[in-house]
Amino acid sequence: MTYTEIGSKQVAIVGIDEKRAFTLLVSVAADGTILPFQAVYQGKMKLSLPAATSPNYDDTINAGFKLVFSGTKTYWSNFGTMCTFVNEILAPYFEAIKLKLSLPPQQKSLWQIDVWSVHRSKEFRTWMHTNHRNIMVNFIPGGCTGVHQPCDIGIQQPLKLSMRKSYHETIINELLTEFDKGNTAPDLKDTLGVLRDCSVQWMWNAYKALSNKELVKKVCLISQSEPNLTFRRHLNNVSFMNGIYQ
Amino acid sequence: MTCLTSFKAHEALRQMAKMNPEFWVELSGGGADDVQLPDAAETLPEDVEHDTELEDQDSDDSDLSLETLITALTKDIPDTVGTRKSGKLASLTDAENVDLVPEILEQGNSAAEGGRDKRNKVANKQYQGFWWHHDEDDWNDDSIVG
Repeated sequence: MTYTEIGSKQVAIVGIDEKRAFTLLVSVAADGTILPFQAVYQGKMKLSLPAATSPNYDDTINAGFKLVFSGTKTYWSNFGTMCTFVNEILAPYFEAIKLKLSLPPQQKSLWQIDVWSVHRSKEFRTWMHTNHRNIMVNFIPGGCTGVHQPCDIGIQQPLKLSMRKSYHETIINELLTEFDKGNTAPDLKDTLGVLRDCSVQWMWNAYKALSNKELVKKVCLISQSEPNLTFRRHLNNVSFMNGIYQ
Repeated sequence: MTCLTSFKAHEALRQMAKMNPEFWVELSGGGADDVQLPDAAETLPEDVEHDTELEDQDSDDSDLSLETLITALTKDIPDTVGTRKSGKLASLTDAENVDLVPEILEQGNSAAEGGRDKRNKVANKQYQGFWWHHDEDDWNDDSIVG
């Protein structure tokens, strides 16, 4: 069930206002690279972000992850966080690839995104056109991400599985630690701050698991195929052509 | 045949702004209004927040290892893995998986279409004996007796 004012940027589903969630922006490139994640947390200040002492925090920062606060009462991406993503993750990636391939600075890059209201808003498109003229934005038709967006086709599933397993591991470790202390009926810590800090390690584990060029290349290839079969059958029937992404 | 780096090709590109202004605008990036997109006030599927609770109802694939899932995505679905109605995968080897309804288990026997040999379902014999669930001593000494 959904209910919201006309013109809202995102529509929440009644009854699932989950306070302990965050938005994870996952991006892949056709050469098999998975870009550093941007994680958006609810809040308006740095204190809303995971602590620097969180497990694997340094690993994520060194890998180029960007942990940002939404500046609002939700954990949803918005115009501001999208601009940050482009400035700090997407554009630097494209620039680095141009440098690596000795391409001219004016070389165009293609960015394929869905038609989420912020993406398709005139405000964001104007901002992209003004600030990143060499990045061409290509929109996946509405409702078609399941067949034409690589992340929906084959990245979200292993990402979520990795996150579930990491979450499970965290709980088990916490329980065992409490048992070792002699506490036979421990209360699991599930406050926002605790889970927010844990999320860094979960993201890092998922990023490592998905840094698999074979997987990313294959889902990118599938996303360009005709959508007349289920994606898994598609995946099974496609072979790679070496060097096609170079 | 004209070479792409020939004078003729370069000249055609130089003149494109005049000869085909519409295509030139598209090529050169255009403006923010050059694409036809649904109205911002319209609510599309992409604008609705995912209901993760509904999503997870038939998608708990945590009985699979990450390696198995990635193998299924990149190579082939292993014989030990079945597919739910939702397309999500499920391990066929988990004896205590209540989700293993006959329609999922059937898939283990119907893989010939994909070119593989028919997969024969073999009954799990692991639990033929008695499992000491509640012996109230050290779980390390739990074992199957059969």
